[in-house]
Amino acid sequence: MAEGKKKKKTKIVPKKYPMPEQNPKERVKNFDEVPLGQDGETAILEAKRCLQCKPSPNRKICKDGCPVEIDIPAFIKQVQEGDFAGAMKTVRDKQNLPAVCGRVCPYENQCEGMCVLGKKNEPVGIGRLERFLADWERNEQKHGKIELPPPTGKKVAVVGGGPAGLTVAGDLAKQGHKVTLFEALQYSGGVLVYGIPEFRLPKEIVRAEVDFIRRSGVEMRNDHVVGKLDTVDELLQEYDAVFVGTGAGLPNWTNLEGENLNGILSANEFLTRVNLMKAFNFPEYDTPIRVGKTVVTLGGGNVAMDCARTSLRLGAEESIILYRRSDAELPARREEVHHAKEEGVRFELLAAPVRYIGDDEGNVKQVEAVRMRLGEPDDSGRRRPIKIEGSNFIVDCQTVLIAIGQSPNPLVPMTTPDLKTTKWGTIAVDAEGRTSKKGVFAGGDISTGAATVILAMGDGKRAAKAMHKYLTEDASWPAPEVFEKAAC
Amino acid sequence: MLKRLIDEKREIDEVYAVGPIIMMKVIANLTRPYRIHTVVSLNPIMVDGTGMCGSCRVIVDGKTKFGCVDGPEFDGHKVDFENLTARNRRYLTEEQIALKRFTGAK
Ligand SMILES: Cc1cc2nc3c(=O)[nH]c(=O)nc-3n(C[C@H](O)[C@H](O)[C@H](O)COP(=O)(O)OP(=O)(O)OC[C@H]3O[C@@H](n4cnc5c(N)ncnc54)[C@H](O)[C@@H]3O)c2cc1C
Ligand code: FES
Repeated sequence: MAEGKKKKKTKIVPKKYPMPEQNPKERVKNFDEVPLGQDGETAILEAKRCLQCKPSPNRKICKDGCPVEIDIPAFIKQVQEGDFAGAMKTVRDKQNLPAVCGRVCPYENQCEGMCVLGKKNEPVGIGRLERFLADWERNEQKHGKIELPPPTGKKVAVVGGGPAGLTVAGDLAKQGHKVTLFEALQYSGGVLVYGIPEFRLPKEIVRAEVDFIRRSGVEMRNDHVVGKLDTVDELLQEYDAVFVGTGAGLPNWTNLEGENLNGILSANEFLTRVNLMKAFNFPEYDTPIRVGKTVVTLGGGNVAMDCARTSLRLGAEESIILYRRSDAELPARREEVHHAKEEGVRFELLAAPVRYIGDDEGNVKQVEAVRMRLGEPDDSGRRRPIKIEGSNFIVDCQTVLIAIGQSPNPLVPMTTPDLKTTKWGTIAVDAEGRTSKKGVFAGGDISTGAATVILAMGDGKRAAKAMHKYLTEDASWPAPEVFEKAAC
Repeated sequence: MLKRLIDEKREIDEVYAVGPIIMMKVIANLTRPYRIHTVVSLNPIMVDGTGMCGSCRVIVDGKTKFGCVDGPEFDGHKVDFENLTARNRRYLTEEQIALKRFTGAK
């Protein structure tokens, strides 16, 4: 294995070193994580597949695909040399949630999508290297003591404990500001705890990340809904700056006949019952869930895959995804679609619901759907689905899960009159995350619309930087017109 | 009682009804013919109570509302009580299991 350092050209290894996974037949019966991770030796081998491309203006490399600009070639080089601690330092320089992002990032469209090796072969497994490092750090307890600078005397309120809020809280605390994080739910982590299932992202990992931030001196106030208990205006009287990272938690509905029948749940309700309230452990835990024999999930994104796969684990005999476009347009990550298929989720593609049919007691018993075909591309560039008249069909089911997207959480904008929003309901911000209200910053899904963990975290980092500047050097604020434009 | 007060022609501008669904429904039905504005406080099954799941959805004036953040007080004359009653029976079996465990454990 000892290759000559630079002179000898190493032979290209065309495929990623495999990461062991739980067998599909077994794993549909449990909630344990599906991919099992890699050991140090495999990580070094994987890192050695990297060609160490130099950035150049006319060629894009892995690093250009990373939304938070992690110095990927540098950390891979450190892994090659077996310097895991150094590699982790390089990652942590830009990344606050490595163990999370090393699991749920859509690498195939980001770093790994740009990997030069990936043009002809499989790209370097950058995601799994990140995951390996973060897990290694957690297990070795290399978090160590957290050194904090002297207090600045400034107080900051962070509203929302998802990836965006956690990042802001952590970064500002590290700079000596006194941070209080207000979170509506009993645990912090946002979608990471209530949405993404245990088998994709063990909650233990999220808890460790949240703990790390708590140990940085952030005061966490859970079960605190801003907009109900108090308002942003009230927070501003006590705090020097406020960050709003309340996410896109408002479920979209199909608005079809029968939607309020029993057994029809939003993806959020279903996943929250299972992940946050541990309904799979009823009656050990108080929140129940019942799926019946057949579950129909509407939608084709990551959320839909999570619902369909969770249903199987809750004992559904059949889990069907109903999606109005074709396989190629499924917005979910390929890996998730692949996992879902392996586990036996049935894909009913090019089909859309028409109405829900209930029994005498108000429980759903059937979904009526219609076949679709693809027409011309629409504004989003995807081919528009068109109904095929007369092709209606009925699916018997006991549960319908609606996973057709989420809108920004309206509570804070609704209760903060001078906070400008866009026509999509997102909070209007400038490039630094400043809002139309002086001293108030925003980021993550609440300002971008439903996006990804890494983008929310990147938003948080940018906002934290701007907030630090605002608190310590320059308290100027953009003119209102800036936001008029954004809010049009 | 309420009916007597109304029949006695006392001046009543507003009625608040807080209690079991059936009681709120009956009161809303009672005040409807007299057009007395009636506020009911609904208790749909909630999960998070922050407006992100819709477990608590109720139909008010033909529109879907979230009990936890849009309410819990609504105009009693506009609430679809049939739907609410059915929705609140969703986990009856499980509720009984939990109750048994609770009392049994004591
Ligand atoms: C099921 C599911 C699967 C997903 N899978 C992936 C994936 O595989 N990869 C990926 O990159 N992304 C995925 N996403 C998207 C990703 O999780 C989000 O983009 C990301 O979590 C957004 O972070 P955020 O901090 O902006 O908001 P959130 O994570 O939504 O956090 C917002 C927090 O604010 C709290 N809050 C809201 N209102 C208030 C209030 N008024 N007062 C106090 N607190 C409040 C909420 O309780 C919540 O904890 C998925 C999303 C879902 C729903
Ligand atoms: S309880 Fe979840 S939205 Fe009201």
